[in-house]
Amino acid sequence: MIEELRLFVRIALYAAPAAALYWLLSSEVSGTWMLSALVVAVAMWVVSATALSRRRPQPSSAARLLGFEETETESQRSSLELAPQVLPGPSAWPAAAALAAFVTGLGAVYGGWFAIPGLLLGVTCTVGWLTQIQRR
Amino acid sequence: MVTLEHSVPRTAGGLLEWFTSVDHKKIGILYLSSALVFFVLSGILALVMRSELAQPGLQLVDRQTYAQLFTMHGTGMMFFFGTPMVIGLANYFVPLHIGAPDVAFPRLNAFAFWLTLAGAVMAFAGFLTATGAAAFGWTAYAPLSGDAYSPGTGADLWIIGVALSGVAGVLAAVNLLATIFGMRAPGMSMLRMSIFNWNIVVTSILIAFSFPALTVALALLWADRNLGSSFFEPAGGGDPVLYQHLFWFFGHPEVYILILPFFGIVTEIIPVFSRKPVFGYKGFVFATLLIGAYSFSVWAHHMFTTGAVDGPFFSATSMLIAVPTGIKFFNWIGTMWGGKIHFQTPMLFCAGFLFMFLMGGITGVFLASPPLDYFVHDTYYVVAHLHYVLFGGSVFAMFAGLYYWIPKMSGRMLSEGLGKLHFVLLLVGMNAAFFPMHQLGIDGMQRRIPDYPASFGYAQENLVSTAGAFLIALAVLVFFINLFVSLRRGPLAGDDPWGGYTLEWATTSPPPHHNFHRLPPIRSARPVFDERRENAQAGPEGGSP
Repeated sequence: MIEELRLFVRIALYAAPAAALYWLLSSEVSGTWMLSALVVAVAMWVVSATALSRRRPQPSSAARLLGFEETETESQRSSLELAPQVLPGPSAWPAAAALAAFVTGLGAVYGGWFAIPGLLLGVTCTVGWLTQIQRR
Repeated sequence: MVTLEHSVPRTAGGLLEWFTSVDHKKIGILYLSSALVFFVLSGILALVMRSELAQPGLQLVDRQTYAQLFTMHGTGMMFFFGTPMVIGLANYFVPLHIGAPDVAFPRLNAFAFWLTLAGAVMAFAGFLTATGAAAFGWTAYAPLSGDAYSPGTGADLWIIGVALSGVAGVLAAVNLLATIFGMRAPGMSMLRMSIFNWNIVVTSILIAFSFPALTVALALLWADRNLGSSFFEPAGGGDPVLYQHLFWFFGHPEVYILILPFFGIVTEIIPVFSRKPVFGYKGFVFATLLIGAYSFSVWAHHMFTTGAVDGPFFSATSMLIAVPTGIKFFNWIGTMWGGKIHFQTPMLFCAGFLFMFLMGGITGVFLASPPLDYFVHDTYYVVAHLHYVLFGGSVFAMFAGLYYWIPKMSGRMLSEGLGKLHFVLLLVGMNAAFFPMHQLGIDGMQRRIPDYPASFGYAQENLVSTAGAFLIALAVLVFFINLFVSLRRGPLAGDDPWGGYTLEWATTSPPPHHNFHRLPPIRSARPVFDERRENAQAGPEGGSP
């Protein structure tokens, strides 16, 4: 996970000073907010990735966060176990759920009456989808 | 060698199978097919526009219809051809490249595709309404896109359709990131992944972080139109420039979303057809990350003429992007340098990509300079630049990728003769269509206007440009004929027709449902090449089983 973590750290390391510099140069609010939001979003990814990687050896130093080197242990590691895997079978729920979103979207254009069948179909799809996952 | 066992689920069979499949390869083909359909549809709209512009005066369409045509041409190409094409290729090849049996969330993957299609159908359905389709340009600038200037349901259908496809894009991106981060085969470390995969990682991050800005902009625009709010309405205290900020915070990363994966494709093809390993692997990774990071700090170079943005900041960051792009060009040339180059169709398209994208890149550096941008803003110069980048870049690399990978996807080779004819027609057509637009722009011809006075002297360049557009259409027709004929009667491809390096060439053509019966040992970024070399060194009787 360390290389994935580095990826987001690098983006944050670019976006944070870019946001500060942009504010200092322009005092423009919306752009500064968007760049700052990017930093926050990236930070959230870093926190998530760190939480996920706690089960594995942690990076030894800050230098490893920024570098392009990886140890042999890292390069051989994989989260994909080679135990027999079960691939999911066909399912009509994803297409039906998209249809539900389409009909609900029509409600936003033509009025609430279109949204009602869309929302009902959406609830049906959610229940069907979850039930299908549970059965498998 | 690692042998993989999977339980293969039953499939529905027939047409129903395509509606219900959650197999990443089928979803990938659905993405590619729908993207090509919208490529053709949006291309037809462009042909009508070019026919209208071939000579002064209004001949074919009125001004309102013309506005609908350029709006839906841009929308179709950017949202329903470019992005789905990227996600489709990633869908098909990311799991194959990392040795995974499928994507991390197969059902979510299917949902993302159908949602994209639903959004596309909704946006294009505007043509069927009494007031016609959206007519405010693919950027939908407020207040032009507000209720006062764009009444009618076509505009609302556009807003909701594009928003749906944006949400679908985020779902697809998160799925691809989860797949790459969590499902790599043993030995497939991040720094052994194909450059294509690295580009997909960065592209997915761009999608995940930039599309929400578009969704917010569209939601506020919809509220302004339907709920009486005034986020972008100056009369109600709103700020139209805020819309531009939100839109371009998505819009400029979107350009890189549409080009980075194609950089990746070219980086896969050039080494194989140069018979060399890729030159500067880590340089490519570094440059890709840098382009991704920079792309978030250049958005307002589209807004220089508003006078409401910091010109020097955005000029500097925009010009900086030339540095990582230059690194990539250097590495592509370094990869070819001293290699045994085979100019088969995929490589020809890569060579075309290098020259055409270079043209687009250089004109982009001019546009990054505010004084020059003020001069050519909203003229055909910008149209020429955009098309050299996205047509000369993305579309050429897309065709390179299709000629390279369709044998893997279908098990049959495409015709080399028709492929080369396609390339020549496309190269000539593209330059005829878009090169004169540079001059038109410098001469002051505005974009998005269906007519021009004969006395302005635009007629000759416009006629050449229209002829070029029809040549492009002919080239695309040749491609589809090639596809149609070759998929039925083309020679069998075998597992590895090009002598490829990456893992997709270690499985059958087309791959089985679970992708791999066996995986070669992964000790570098070229596992298939490594295994082939080991087998050759071991001799005919000593190869690995």
